[in-house]
Amino acid sequence: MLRLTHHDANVIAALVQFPVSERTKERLASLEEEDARLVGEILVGIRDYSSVSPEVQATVDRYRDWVKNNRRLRLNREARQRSSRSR
Amino acid sequence: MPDKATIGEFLVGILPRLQNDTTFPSWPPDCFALCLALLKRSGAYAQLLRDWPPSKDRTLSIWAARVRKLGEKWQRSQPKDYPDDLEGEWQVVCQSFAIPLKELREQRALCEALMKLVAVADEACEGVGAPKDQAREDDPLQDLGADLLAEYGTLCLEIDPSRLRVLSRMHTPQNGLTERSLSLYLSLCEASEVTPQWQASPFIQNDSMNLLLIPWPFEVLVNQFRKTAGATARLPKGFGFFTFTDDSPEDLTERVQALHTEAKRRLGRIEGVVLPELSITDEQFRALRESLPQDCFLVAGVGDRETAGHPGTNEVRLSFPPLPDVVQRKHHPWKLNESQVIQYGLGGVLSPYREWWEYIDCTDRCLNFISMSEDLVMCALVCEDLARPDPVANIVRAVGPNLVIALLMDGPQTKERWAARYATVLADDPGCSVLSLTSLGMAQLSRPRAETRRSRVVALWKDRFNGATEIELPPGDEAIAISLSTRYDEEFTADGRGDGGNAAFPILSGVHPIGAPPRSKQR
Repeated sequence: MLRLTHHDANVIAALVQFPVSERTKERLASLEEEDARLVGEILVGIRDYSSVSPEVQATVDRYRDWVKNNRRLRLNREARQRSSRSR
Repeated sequence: MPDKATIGEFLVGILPRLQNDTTFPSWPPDCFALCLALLKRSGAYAQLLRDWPPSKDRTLSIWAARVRKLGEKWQRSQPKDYPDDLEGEWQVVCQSFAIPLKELREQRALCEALMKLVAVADEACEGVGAPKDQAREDDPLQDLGADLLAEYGTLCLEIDPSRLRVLSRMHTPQNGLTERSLSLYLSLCEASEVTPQWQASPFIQNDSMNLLLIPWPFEVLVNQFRKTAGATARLPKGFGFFTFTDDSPEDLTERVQALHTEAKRRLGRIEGVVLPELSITDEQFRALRESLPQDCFLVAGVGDRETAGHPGTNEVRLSFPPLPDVVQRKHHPWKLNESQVIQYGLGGVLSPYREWWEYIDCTDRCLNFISMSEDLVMCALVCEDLARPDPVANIVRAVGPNLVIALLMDGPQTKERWAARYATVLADDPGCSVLSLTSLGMAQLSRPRAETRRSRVVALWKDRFNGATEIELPPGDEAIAISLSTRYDEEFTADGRGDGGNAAFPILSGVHPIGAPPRSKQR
């Protein structure tokens, strides 16, 4: 897995968490490190996963797993909230 | 002139543009900060809540439902708009600018307006700053909020962080009545010398989390404590500086790897490794980080001795790949007094008749929050920082991180000692789960006069629901793996809003001593 700079870590977290918008291009352009840019481009779907190094792939995998995990946690939260508020 | 400050002067002090431009602060965290700061300064919320909810809402559930609905509306109207329904409340605030602050609590309509703006802004910010999954539609509040939090350590857009900060919140106190009792999702932090830093880590949170606690070093020698002659000369008689040093740090890599492997074999996975205050050097930290799997985080107390009159360092390093490692210096130096010199048997190197200050650099104070999931925000404190109420404790209490890890260089972590007392305070209000960890070496060096010696109690766990749990390292073992499971409970604000049962509490759900790896050498 790569080690990102603070800035790149924040940008990639935003790229993976929020839908593609006007800010996506801006965010991609602000990435400082080349490898971080590759991670960002794969995550927003403009670069092929198989074209990058295993380290970059591992970082992409990590962020994708994170998003899946966040989804699971969100659904659980919503279910708890529904159950609590329907009482 | 004393007692003449007005509401307008107070609010302009927070947001200067209100002097000339009183348009509604449409970014919810800004509105929250302005209105809650005013309620806090005047103490008006205590008076207001004596007769609550507002008469037009009739019941708390009607109030809560109405405010929640408005919050959702505000969230959807971002980034630049706000619900028209709040314009009336803001007008009430603006029309009160000339009223002296001290008279605020007598202005019922104004207090109700402030409370409503606080509550709606809070509801609008549910989940801001927490990791997301792209399932929702375009959500500028979440999107911009995450950027602000990561970049500036505040959610405010208009309010300068040197005046006030707003951070996400994980726990609302369920005891007592303070301004912290008034919100579920946002916390108000007074301007302070401490810079809060918020980092989202792509951490995979399972239903439970296993941590490997290594109470290193296993032996601490009296001669590792030394007085620092040059710096001490600057102090009045009766005081001195000391430093703690390890002249021949051992290569820990093989030992920690073996402990990690064994712990993983027994528990299936290990999410994090924790080492106590001043347990390793920078070089050891780097080697350990290199040797541990990247999906395992590392929280360790790292130190460096003083050199040629320059103070040493005492810091916690938080390593959560792929984030860069985060460094947080200890905020308060340790002061050894007579009883502590005797307790640790240091009289041969440090006179018990002086007070000895730890010679470390305490500048650049920051507090790091690692947002691991929507249910888990963690922060680490170093020793004294757990006990001293300022400058850091107010921020910890405001945010209420789910997990606080306190790295100590201290005696045994028994329930009677100071760390347990302060852990209990944080567990009670705001509701943090607290883990304290010291080294076996320090626990064994400690020989308190009055207490029974229990020198292998190296860690202590405290959460809101259970009494403090001592964690003991059995003879022959070198580490302890603990399991933490998340318990959910509903928290309520003092105005009667609930979070729907989503307040998350890590609970100690397993303790497993990990034996010495066969080939590791004892120190």
